[in-house]
Amino acid sequence: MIRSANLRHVLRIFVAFASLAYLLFASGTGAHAAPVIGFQAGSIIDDGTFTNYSTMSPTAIQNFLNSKVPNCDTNGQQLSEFGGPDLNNDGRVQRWEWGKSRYNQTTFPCLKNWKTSGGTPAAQVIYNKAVKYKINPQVLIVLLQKEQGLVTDTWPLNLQYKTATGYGCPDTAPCDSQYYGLANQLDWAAKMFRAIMNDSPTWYTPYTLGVNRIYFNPDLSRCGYTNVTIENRATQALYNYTPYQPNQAALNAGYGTGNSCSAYGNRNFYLYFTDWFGKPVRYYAFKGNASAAVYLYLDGMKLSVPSMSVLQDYGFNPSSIRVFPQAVADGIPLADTGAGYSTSISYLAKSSSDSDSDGSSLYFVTLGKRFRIVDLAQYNEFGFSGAPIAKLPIEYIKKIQTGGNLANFIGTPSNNVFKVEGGAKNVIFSYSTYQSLNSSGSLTRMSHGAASEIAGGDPVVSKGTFIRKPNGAIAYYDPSSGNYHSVPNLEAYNCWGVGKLSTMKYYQLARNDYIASYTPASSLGCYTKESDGTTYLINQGKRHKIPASFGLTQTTSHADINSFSSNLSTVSHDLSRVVKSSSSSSVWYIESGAKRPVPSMHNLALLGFTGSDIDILSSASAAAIPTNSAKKLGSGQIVKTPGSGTVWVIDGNKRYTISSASLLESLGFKWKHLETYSASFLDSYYPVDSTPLSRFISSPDLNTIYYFGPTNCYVFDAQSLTNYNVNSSTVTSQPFTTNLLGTLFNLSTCQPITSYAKSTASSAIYKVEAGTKYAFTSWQSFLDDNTSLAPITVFDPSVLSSLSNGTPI
Amino acid sequence: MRITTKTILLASAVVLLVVATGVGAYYFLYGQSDSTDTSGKQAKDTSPVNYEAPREEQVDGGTQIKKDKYASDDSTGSQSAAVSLRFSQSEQVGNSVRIRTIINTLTSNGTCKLTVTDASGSQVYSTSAGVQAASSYSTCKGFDVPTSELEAGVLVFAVVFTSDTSTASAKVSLEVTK
Repeated sequence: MIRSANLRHVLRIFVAFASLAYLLFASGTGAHAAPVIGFQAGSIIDDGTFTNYSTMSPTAIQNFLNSKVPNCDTNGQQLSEFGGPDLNNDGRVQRWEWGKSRYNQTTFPCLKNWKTSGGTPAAQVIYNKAVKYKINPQVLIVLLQKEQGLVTDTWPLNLQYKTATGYGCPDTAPCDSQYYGLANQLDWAAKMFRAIMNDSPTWYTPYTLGVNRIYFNPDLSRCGYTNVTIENRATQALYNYTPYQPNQAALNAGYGTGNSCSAYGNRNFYLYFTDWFGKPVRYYAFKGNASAAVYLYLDGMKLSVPSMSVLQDYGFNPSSIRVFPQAVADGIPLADTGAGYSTSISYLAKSSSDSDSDGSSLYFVTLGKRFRIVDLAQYNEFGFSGAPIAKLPIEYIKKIQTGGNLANFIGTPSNNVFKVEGGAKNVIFSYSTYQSLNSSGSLTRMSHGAASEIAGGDPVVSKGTFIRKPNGAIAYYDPSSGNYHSVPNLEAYNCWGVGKLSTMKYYQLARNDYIASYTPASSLGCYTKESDGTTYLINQGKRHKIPASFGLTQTTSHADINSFSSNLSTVSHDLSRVVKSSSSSSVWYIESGAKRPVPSMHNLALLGFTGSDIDILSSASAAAIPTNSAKKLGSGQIVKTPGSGTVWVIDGNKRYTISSASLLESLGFKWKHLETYSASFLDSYYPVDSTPLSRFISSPDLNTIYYFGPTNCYVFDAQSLTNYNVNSSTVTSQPFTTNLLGTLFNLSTCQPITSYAKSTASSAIYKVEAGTKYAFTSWQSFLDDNTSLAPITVFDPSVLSSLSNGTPI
Repeated sequence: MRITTKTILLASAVVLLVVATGVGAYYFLYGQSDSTDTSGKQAKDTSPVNYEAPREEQVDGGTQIKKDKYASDDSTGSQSAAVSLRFSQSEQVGNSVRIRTIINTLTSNGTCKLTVTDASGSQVYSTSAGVQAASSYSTCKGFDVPTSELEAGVLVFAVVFTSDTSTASAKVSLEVTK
């Protein structure tokens, strides 16, 4: 039987051969500079790795140091790579000779063999400092290597130990002796790291989390800088320790030399750490440069990322996605489902084993935190049944900051809050409602993306409410019926006053899916119609009753809408037949289910209205009334067509020819009111009635008859009607009534017709009695007969000529 | 020499055997040595530690550091360059303007003075802070300037470091919004 010690000796020799074989076969390509892959300036190492001070025991550290220097040249017997004098004249320059001449040093203990004056090995010193400051000893080991090359150096100088971590060594001046010594150097470095990790208020740092200007090289002006967003404290600590970032040339060179603007400290930290201790960032997002697929790297394996929103909810900013050569990205193995892992991340996550230390808890991951799902009932309330669950390493689960238990009330970044129940999230608009429902105040904040994982429900409201989606769709929701009613257009939106009136406040949703998709039960217009036929025009959140005579027929509106409408204030008077829009000067006349423009105030007056009769509507409500563009003319409006001398007067829906200027003036029309319209318009809406206009006009009850003479108007009494042979049948066919003419003429000024008359065509004066006219032969005979000096009535010639002639007086 | 498939397979098998045996032997030699831990504390290795000999490029990297620092003609470390100051941060963060600096010398003595001027050159704000030595440089112990102390618009932030032996300054323009 071979003794263990002997066996080890034999094996040590064998290992030496094996190592040689490895160097020959495995690391034969190591001489080629491989570009640095995965270096992310803003996140060189993660906080967890940086502060994991229990990664290595002193023995493990010692073993590691041993492995990196298989053979020390403690006495400097190897040939000097730096030249130097041949002090012993043996024909060759050894390292001790260079050391002696340059630094008066002839022995060169390796780090693995170095001890303090008290006999503490370097490995133990490293360990002690790591524990003291709770910094990963691997970080300190790499620091010793990247600053002085101490880990791999087979014959280090005393100076390298004095300034082992480079602490107290500015770029432009000698090192400060107060920081000398391996233990002292490690202490200062670890102390600084810890202060930064603690965000110590007494340790001022030029670089902080966020955007920083980081130069490439001490030659500032020549080599320049870029802004780097430092993502974590550990990376902040590295930059504060070594205040430069590697340029692309340095990254392309691997461990080698870049160009004159390169700095290597943080690059080398990343390289040595990666090669010796694994990825300094154990968890990161990455993609290949030839593919859009994004993955999450978790300790040597990758899981696909289904969306940027879930990636961000896992705490990764999309800008932090590392881009690898595609082959490198492809070479990272997909998570092993055989080992219980999922191949994709998702909002629901748990450890890969139910027997893990977190008790097989299921979490909802959002905003970089994990929220524990309390029980199956809550799982069902959230409607998670069937949702994918990512099974992840327990170490990673624990790395995600805990947010405690998932609450049944959730909030999103837009400050929408929801009550989750029945498999859906139900939005709450009112704070008082929220308070009454959630007395504990327990609320889980989550991203929009995470909230979208929960189906949308119905709003939690006590009364009808307007809701607006981001896509602009507005609906009225009636909680009593559960119906949604769409607000289909801007007119409906405005006439109900949505968004403008406090009573019509709408609630904005941040996402379309914050409520369930719905099919509107009806569509809101600017009218409501009750089941009894009562119809209202909705104007600025109030309602006007519409007289049936307007002809504005509507379909009966939904009971929800009528119920809601009944809460609106009703304008005290019915809608006027004349309306205008608040945004336009146009006045409209409503008839036959449409509004027609009234072209002038004169027409408005002829239609029997004044300005105070006009109901002013919002433009939306006015627009909701159908429009007939044909102008509405008032009875009594005199019109003509272009290029014609014929003048007509409008009466109702007809027009009558005014045969002469004299008649026009006699009837009280004013030339200034003459308006010109196209023949086609007039023919369409006001066709000509051929009935001739008479100067005899009756009152509507036919009891009074007027005569509109060339110079004056006159009123008949019973005697004069007999005298002039006029009766009511004479005027029944006339289109005009005194009601109309009264608007043009002051009828009270009309004089009584006397029995003394003359024609405008002659100077002869007559006395008229019983349908016969008697001419006066002289002024004296007229004065002798007209002892009361009654005025002479002046007629147009046709009136007197129609009377028979009697014996002259 | 003619290389046959048989030769390749044989060589591969030998290499595989040598490497596998080496790895196993290494584990036998070093893998159980944690039991000799004299600290009395058990630490858990939670990351893969590479106990292989360093690659040539890693050794070369270390040698290069040594050469640059201690073997080159200008490696005595006695040369001094002019003291300079640069900004590492100059940005508005919420209601504060964050100014951070790096002074390329190692000292805890001296004063940093921040002066803010507007477009017309009029001073709108001024404050001073001490200096703190860091790993390979120094930094002003400041500055976080409340925007309430400033006016909106483009302002010039100038920092002057003064000690008994040296002075350095830098300035940067920054648009301040309120």
